[in-house]
Amino acid sequence: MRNLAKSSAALVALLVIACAPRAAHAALGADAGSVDQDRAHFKAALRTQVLAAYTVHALDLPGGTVVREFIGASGVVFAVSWSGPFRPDLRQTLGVYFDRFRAATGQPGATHRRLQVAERDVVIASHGRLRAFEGLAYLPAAMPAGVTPAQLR
Amino acid sequence: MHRCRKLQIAAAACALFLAACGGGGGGSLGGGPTPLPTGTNVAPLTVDSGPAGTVNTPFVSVTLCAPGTTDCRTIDHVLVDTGSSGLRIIASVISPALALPAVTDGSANPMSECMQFADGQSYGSMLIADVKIAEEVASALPVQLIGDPAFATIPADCAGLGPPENTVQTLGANGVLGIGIFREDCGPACVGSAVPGTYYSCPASGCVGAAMPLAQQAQNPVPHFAVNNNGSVVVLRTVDPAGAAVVAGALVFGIDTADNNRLTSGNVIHVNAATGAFPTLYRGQTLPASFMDSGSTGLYFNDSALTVCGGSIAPDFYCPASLQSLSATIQSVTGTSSNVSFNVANAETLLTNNVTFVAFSSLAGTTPIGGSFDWGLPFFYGRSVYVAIEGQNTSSGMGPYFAF
Repeated sequence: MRNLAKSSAALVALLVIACAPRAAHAALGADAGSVDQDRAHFKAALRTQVLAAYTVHALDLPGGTVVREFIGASGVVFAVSWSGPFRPDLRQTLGVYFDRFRAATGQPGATHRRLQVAERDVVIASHGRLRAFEGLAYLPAAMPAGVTPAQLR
Repeated sequence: MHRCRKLQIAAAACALFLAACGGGGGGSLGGGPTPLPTGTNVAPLTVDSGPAGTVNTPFVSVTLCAPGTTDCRTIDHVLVDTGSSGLRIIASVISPALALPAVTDGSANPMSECMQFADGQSYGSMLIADVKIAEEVASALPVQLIGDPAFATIPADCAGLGPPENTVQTLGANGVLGIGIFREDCGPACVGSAVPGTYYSCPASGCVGAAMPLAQQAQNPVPHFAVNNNGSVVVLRTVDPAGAAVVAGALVFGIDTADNNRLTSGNVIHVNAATGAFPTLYRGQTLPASFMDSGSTGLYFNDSALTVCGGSIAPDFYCPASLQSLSATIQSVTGTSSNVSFNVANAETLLTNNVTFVAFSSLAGTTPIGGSFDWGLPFFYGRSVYVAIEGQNTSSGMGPYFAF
């Protein structure tokens, strides 16, 4: 059973990669090339940090917000986070998952200060207020082994 | 019976049940500061179900006038928000419409703004109005007209922030009165160059992102008053543990400028000047990005020892089996600290027990990202919360700070 569970997770991860959009935007779920597309879209400076389990591509946006895009060994962007005085264009950074964010707005539990999406294939959290926003979106099935959401800052 | 509770500001489905939501009347005005302050610098504050069936949302009336004229409209149920700065009104509630001049750029193009929220955005034109609250007047103040039909096309980088919240139903109020610690909404970051998803210049060909001088940004009205202009005090009576249908309060302008706004408490919490944040210590953890926010409907923080509601009535709120009495320490960035006690009740019980209740002092929920304690409206009940504006002097020092 244990092995079956593992291979199911791997299959989901493969499907995520296979289905990854190739559009001009969409970092989450896409390949490393989308980081460059986001960098160009945001007119951002790019800093790259290689860690054992994943690589962090940090985009410094002109307004002072930092967008971080996390890529594991599979080459897929498995998480995107943001922090700073302004929110980034989430249609750009969340790609196909932006519609999940849109659907959560106005649901019980969402407010102007917090929004949470916790679905099987994607988790999105957005929080904050004027001049202090932060957020995180990730694909549970594509997370490298041993990596927890709390590390993705 | 379907219960229409807006834990948040939005939920179009609730519009259908507004009559049920409205409830009305019956609740005690509760305890707290007695009597409530009065004077020319005091506007009555009310927590009720409002125009969109909200909970824990404090409202005030604001009067807008065409600059230099007596052509005015008074707008009721404007949300009093210590977590933002600037006055924003939903266009459709100004009836009949008011002829307000546009804020323009150097080429005489009208300007528009995208107001960012964690769950979406509000878009509309920037206009000039004389603003009167209580007897205090801010003349020729740049304000945002949300959902201005003349600016119906939302720029792409604004729409990319999330769904528009341009109606009374989706905003949860007829407008927002931002009386937070900042003088402007965007501040210096928007002055030098265009920041995506903020301000736009709008020639006939369409709106494009633009830099915005400080003086033309949406302004916190308080520093523009002739007197009582260094901050404000949000005063709300206490609320019965089970809740209340209406809570009375007062929005007092000025800090230690008159007999009705004396600051005698030692709990002065200076904040990070860039973000407005201060640390809160809770269960051995330091939460550095904490804030005080009358625009938050609950206390929002993470505590794995508290049960999260399981049903669809109050997702991401706490539902402990019994009332939990908790405490935290709020720290000033100057190093002093204040202990605060608070209660967390079962949110589903609160929201379903009495359909007319919309004010709850023990409503709390999770925060999507750790690292902060959002001291929302439950914190304000039974207190006077002082909001000192950046760069404004008070008897307790220079703003920005919160005090209680």
